[in-house]
Amino acid sequence: MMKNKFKGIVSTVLTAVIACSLAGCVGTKVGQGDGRDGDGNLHISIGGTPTEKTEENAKTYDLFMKNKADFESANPGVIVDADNWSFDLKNYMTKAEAGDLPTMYHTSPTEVNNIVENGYAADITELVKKYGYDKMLNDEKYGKLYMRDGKYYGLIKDGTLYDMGIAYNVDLFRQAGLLDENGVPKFPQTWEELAETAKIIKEKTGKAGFAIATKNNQGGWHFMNIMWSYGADFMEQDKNGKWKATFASEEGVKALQYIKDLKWKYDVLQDELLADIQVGGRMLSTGDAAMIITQRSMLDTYAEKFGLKANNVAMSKMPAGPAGRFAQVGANVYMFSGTEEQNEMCFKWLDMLGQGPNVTDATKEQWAKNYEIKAGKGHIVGVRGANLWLNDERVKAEMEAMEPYRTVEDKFFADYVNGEGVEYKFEPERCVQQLYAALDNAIQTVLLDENADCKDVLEKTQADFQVNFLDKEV
Amino acid sequence: MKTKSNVKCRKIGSKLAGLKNETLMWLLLLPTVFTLILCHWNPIFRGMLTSLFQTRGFKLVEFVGLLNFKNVLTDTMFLQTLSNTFQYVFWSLVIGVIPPLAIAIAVNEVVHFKQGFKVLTYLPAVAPALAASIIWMNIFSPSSGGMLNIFLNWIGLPASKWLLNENLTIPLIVISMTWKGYGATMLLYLSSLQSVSQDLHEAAVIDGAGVWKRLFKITIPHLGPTMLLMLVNQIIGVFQIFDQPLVMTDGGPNNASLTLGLTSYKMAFSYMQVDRSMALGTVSFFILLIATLFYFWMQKKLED
Repeated sequence: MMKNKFKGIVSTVLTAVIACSLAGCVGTKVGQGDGRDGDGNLHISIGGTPTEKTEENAKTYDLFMKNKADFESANPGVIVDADNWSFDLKNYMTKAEAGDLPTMYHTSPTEVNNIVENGYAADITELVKKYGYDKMLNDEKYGKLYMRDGKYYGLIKDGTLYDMGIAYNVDLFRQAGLLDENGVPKFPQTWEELAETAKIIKEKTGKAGFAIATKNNQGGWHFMNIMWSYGADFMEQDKNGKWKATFASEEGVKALQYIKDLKWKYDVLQDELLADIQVGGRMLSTGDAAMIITQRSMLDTYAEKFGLKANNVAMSKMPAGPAGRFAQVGANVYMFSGTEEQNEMCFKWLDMLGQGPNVTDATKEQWAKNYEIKAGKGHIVGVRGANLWLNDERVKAEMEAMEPYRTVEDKFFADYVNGEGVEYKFEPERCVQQLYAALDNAIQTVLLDENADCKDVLEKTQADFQVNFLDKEV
Repeated sequence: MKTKSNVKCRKIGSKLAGLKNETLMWLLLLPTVFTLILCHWNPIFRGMLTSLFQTRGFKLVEFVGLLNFKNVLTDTMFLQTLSNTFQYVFWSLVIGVIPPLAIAIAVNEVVHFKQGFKVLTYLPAVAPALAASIIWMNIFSPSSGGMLNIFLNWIGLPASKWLLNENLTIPLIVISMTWKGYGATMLLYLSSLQSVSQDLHEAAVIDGAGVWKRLFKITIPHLGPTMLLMLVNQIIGVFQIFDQPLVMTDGGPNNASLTLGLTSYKMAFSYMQVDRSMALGTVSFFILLIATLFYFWMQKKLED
């Protein structure tokens, strides 16, 4: 009897332990908790900010600490915490579920749907109206990037958008004799011209003419631009609200055939065919590839990681295909995870940094400091992305602040900035990452198998994408 | 009556002493049991529970029964992914079983600098998994600057596509896993080898047994139970593989190295579909459970 009782007690304890451990994994959610410490101070944390001073980030760190001190003295009882976490899918959900997200962080538009649908984003509509963003933002044109169902969930970082274009290693173009009389690369105007240009470069320099991404969903992301320019589209919604994949069209097949030709007809691609955008960025920076698809802001990353020289890079708008010239437009989107009170403090913080809609002498001073730091890191300074705001005044003021720290010559980026004839498009609406992954596979197949039939490959890709993802959308 | 009462008292005393011993045993077990519950059983049960619900983030929104299982099992990639996973297991048995055993025997036989050899052979296990994968990516790089391609070029052979070759991808990833993982297994074999009585070897030598005969008649039979244990561990471990293909190929080329583990990871962390990810994890769990039960059944049959 005693033994049985004892076993019973042990079983009860174990059950309790299991129950506790099951219950113990529930984290705090977005907007829960009051964000105050024991002394009643309100804390806000800013993602992607340095928590320690190092040789590389000394200026950024010092500027952050100065801004923090200024902000805290202007807003007594508020403490700004640095958080060096930057958005990363690998740990985003665990951080979100544990209530460990910074109060404000930035991500790509691709993720906004998932973040909102999974309940990790705060609705900031009231704050957007209170701080006057709604009157300044061009919602009609760019609202898709940060709005859902008429509500605001994000703000565009640095008030600037990016659009895709082609980046060039100027030195390789010089070696191949492909600079014009002004010393600017002769930018290919069509995808076919790009292939021919890449071929000349490969023949004359032995380097890859064009490096493309093929994995980590980034191949599909870039390929989307080419498909648009060949006239393909990705999905459409029927009258019952069901989504149907449409990219295995004749136009889509031609776009995939173009990718296949780059390898098997022109032979201008990199040897490392399983590559993400970092591989392309590295090759462009080190002079191992002459052209890549990218957006301007990525060049800053390549400058820091791979030593890309600002004076050795040029950018043009996307080449045209049979259906026109298309470029995907995106941005870094600030998302918020705090209480209304915390989120409001983040709005004030952004205002102080000059990222809000208002321009003051203080914001101009902030811009100047930022551009000085960026120039010191070898970033591309002197070029700005598409205008997010309804009026041009803010952009003009920012360009003036940028000018003294310019690191690139206008002529190398004029074609990209001008963007004449480019139609800017947003990512498709549903299952975007899954779509990119599916297209990655299609690209890999035709690049690795000379006998692959583009039509068969794309039709299978579309059928799989439809069955595995769109049909299973809840 | 007095005698009966004494007997009863003695019985109770003996039971209490037994209980005291059991309490101590349970107390000693408690930290392990607690860790097991928190870190192993808890995720398994939570995963199974989650697989029956539609989720929003990690929050259970609505009970959907077996819908998530239907979704993952009818995925057009499921069979290929399952087949890939079994291929990893197969190649890990072909490539991964012999090296730790052979190295353990070699280290055991070495007379001089034994400790040094032990450390040197264990070194790959110390390398971080990510670093090891990146090293092997460079070795298997299909570019002309890839280490193996430089070697091929040096001996006058054409460059290979290595990881880009759909037929080679899995064996090559298994080679990198074996390099990283053989150290720990080798140490277990080594410790087992060191418990083999030298008398047996000496007697065998006197009886005229050569190296191979001693290996197959004394050493291997002695290592039998350890080898079986390692084999099961290896099958279970490799079946769950996801980090090496994630880093080295991202499941490519054309899904040739995609595994159940990597798919489950992508569903949860790339697509934020926790419910389907948990359903796939549960499917993997039951496949492994069946394989393990089959192993025990086989072992019992063999012993009988």
